[in-house]
Amino acid sequence: MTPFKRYIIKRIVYSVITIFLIVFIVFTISRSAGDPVTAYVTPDTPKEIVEIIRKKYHFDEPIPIQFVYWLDGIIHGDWGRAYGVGRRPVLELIGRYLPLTLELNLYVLFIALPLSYWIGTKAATNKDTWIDHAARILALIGQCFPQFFLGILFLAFLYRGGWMVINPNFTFQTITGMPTIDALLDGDLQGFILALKYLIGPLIVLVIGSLSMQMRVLRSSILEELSKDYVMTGKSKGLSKDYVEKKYARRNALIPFITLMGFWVANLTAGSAIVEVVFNRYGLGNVMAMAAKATDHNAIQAFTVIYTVALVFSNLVVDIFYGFLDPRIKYGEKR
Amino acid sequence: MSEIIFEVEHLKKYFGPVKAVDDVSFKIRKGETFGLVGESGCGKSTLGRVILKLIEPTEGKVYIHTSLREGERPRRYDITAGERLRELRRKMQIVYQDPASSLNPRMIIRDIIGEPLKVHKVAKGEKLQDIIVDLLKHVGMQEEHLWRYSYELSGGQRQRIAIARAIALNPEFLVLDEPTSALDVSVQAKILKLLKDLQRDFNLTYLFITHDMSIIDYMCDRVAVMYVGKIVEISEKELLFNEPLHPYSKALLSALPSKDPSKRTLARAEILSGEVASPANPPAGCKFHPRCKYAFIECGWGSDDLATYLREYMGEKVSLKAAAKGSFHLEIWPSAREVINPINVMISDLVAKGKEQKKPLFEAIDGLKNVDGRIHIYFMEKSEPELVERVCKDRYVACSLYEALSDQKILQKGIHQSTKKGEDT
Amino acid sequence: MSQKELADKLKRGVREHRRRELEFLIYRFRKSPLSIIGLVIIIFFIALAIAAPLISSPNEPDPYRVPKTFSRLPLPPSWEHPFGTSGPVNYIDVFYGVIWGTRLSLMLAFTITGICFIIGLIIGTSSGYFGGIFDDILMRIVEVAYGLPWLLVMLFVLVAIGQPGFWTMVTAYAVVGWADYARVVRGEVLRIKNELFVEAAKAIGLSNPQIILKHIIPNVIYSVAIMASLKMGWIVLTTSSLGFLGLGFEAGTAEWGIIISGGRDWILQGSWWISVFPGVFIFFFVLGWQLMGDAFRDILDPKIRRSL
Repeated sequence: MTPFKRYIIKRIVYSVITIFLIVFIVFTISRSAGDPVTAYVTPDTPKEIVEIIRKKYHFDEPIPIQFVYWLDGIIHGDWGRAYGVGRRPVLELIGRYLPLTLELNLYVLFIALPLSYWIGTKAATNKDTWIDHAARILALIGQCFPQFFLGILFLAFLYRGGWMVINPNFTFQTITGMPTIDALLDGDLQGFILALKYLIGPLIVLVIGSLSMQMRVLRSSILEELSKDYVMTGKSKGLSKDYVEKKYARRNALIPFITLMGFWVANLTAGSAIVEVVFNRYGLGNVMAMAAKATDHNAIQAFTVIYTVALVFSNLVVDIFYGFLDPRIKYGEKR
Repeated sequence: MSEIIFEVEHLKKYFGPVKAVDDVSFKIRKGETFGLVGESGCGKSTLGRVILKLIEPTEGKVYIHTSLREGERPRRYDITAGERLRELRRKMQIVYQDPASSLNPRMIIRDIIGEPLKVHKVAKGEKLQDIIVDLLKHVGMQEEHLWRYSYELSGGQRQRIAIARAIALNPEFLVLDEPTSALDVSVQAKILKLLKDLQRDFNLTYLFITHDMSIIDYMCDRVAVMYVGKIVEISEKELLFNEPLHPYSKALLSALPSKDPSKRTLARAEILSGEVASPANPPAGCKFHPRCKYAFIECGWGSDDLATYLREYMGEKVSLKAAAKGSFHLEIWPSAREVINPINVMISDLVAKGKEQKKPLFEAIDGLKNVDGRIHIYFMEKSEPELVERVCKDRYVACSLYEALSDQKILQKGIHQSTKKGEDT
Repeated sequence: MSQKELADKLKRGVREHRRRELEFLIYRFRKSPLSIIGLVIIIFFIALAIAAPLISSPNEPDPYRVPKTFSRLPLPPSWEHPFGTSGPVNYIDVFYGVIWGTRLSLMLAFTITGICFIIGLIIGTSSGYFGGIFDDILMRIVEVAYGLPWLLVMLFVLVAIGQPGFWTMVTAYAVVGWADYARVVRGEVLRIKNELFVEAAKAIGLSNPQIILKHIIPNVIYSVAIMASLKMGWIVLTTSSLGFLGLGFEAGTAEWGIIISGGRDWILQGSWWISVFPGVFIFFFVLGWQLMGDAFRDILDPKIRRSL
């Protein structure tokens, strides 16, 4: 088995363990803090009924046993009910609202990453020119403004102009749950435009936020690589500036950038929740915020699990990619 | 003979398979400068640090003879056992090779030198500064340097500070780990002179580690030569320079330009063949024998040697595979395409011819057997030569070329021991 | 030289040394105007926070609950209400909210940073210096903590604790915040541990605790201080985000995010002052600490000092 494969397997196993651990901890805290029965009863429910419900959901058992029951429920699709957000089964909520969040995040990913890469390299290779300064100032501003505030500002400006909608009425069929895709699949051009308008506010804010963070890191890591001796050696050998930069510096500079990715994804989950609230987008983040406000244990627990799984998974992807880039990992370090 | 101040007994430091220090023993006398010389990677730096217990030894004992209280008679203390180590540290210090990293970049000089004094509560406040200034002057620096940071000083100056710190507690024994190797040549001489002066003024004993034979010549009284974790020779300096015993010492010294211009020829230089043995996988028997031009039958020829030989001389002609089944047993067989019998004959011929030519590699072959189409070659099992007195008293060599003194006086072993004067225990 | 003369000479030396240090500090600041801007901003905020009771008379019993200022509609900035009022739904005087919000934010940021710093320092140092299984386990935990979606975890902790409030927030941050510090500290400790001067300290006779305190931590602290400074801004960004969502602090608390959320709908109608003033304050707060962090990095790194 190559060292690389070994590395991947190790990371996968580790991720699985992490997820399991996190889920268990989240579960434990959730069931320990406060009385889980409150999700299913009102203040007037008679005591006997409360006890019956308690027994039914095994709240009287020790936590590890509860965990087993819960896992069993999960496998069979019972994720409990959300009591703060309309008493619907949590799984249904997730099914309905997750795609919108996913859609938003995917757009951000595909726009922000290449864009920040492009700007970052442009800024680094044209150090101290106006491009560089402009990029750095924009990044600074992007990082110092809270995203929800930017959101509000954009809302104020773009809503007036009709560039944005906050309460769209979609007429096309729901297949994936993601408006832009569904509109296209349904051949509904008007709907597609509407979906885009629904998307654009949160998208701009998230992209700006992501750009600021990523561009800064990329720029500084490229600069650091460029100042290293091997670059000068390459140039002295007569290789053109571009060649050296493209082939060597960028590749190495990518490494800190990739390291940032893990953190960035974590930030994205937070960020998208916030912009969803600002722009009234009905994604999972929005629902999650509502659940938090209503101290809905079930919902928060389920959402935490989902997001964490997604995050661990994306970290895994990042790690694998990272291992691919860094030859020390790819070929295994000889001890 | 003067008294012993430092004793190392069968010291070993292994980093996993790497035997950085492999059973080293020696004694250092009070007031002398004991040199330790060898190439990079031979383990001398590690040795210097292990004997002060800055690195944990794998095995072995280190003793210092000193008195911890005023007026007490000197006693022998076991450093490796770790008892009273903190107090013992006042008596033994170290100066490192790299002055840049051995001084804390965030401390001013005054604090760097003052630290040992503070830790051992020697002085406080103004008296402390008094002592520090005094120390500075002893190493040739000025008072204004008290307030500087180490990065504001030159390499030579930093090393002076490191020396000042080392002598601050008035130690008796100092390990100098290549103290001038990182410095410019012009500065080296000054530092060496400083060290000599300090030794005289403060009655210090030095263990001087270096790879530079000319420094050994200038500084040391006795010298130990180290090769791949082992000490191969200990002699007085003059004797070593005039008449090196161990072949490795000879090679090292031959690289030194002679002081007499008429004697300087390139031919004198013995350019060693092969590479330095690996401390993780050293040769059997004497570690130096593969490169030694004087090697003979006793030196521990074995599988690796023959395998290398076969590879070098036979490689293109015929396809053989060999596997070492232990250091002294080599198995040879033809690779797929070759036929057995010609191989058999060829190897036998080779061995016979080698013996005829009195090549030690083949002389050491004890037996040759043919088992199931594979040829097994057995060597005489020889152990590593011990570092004992040979040729004359007080000269230790680990080489089978020379007869051990104790062998000559078998009966006198008891007398032999008691004639060693001056060992205070 | 007599005792007295020596003593005097040495005292002068100390003074001289301190003067040089100060000069160097000033020189670094002068060289980088951004760091001066950062410093000025931070000083401004701190001064504002300290002087809050004088500027805007505190509401009893809890000055951090903004007193109700009734106005049917939001009123634009005026002499009476320098930042205007918010009208429904919160009915607050924006100026009061922003000023006391400054104080609250600073208190929160310093407290959280202090706690995470200490926890991170202890864990990171133990982990890095002593290594072994302890280190392995700790690093697994840190990796897990680091990989969590922080907002989620904070939400979760907030929900678990139930009650909003200052210490609830501090706890929520502490749960996720220490990991970063521990990681950085550990990295630095590992780096420093292998430096020769640490072994030299051992040779002099220092015990392990002494080595850690005198040699390792002083060299480690600077990178951590830089990170801490950058995180101050992050804390405020997160707190205001949570406040905006209605989490963390009770409604009506003087917290910038809460005020901004109250102005969200009004801004569409042209009443910009409710959201913009706190927003601008947040911006400058974060900016100030960001610049300070960069300034620290330039000043405190001895390698850069060498070029002086």
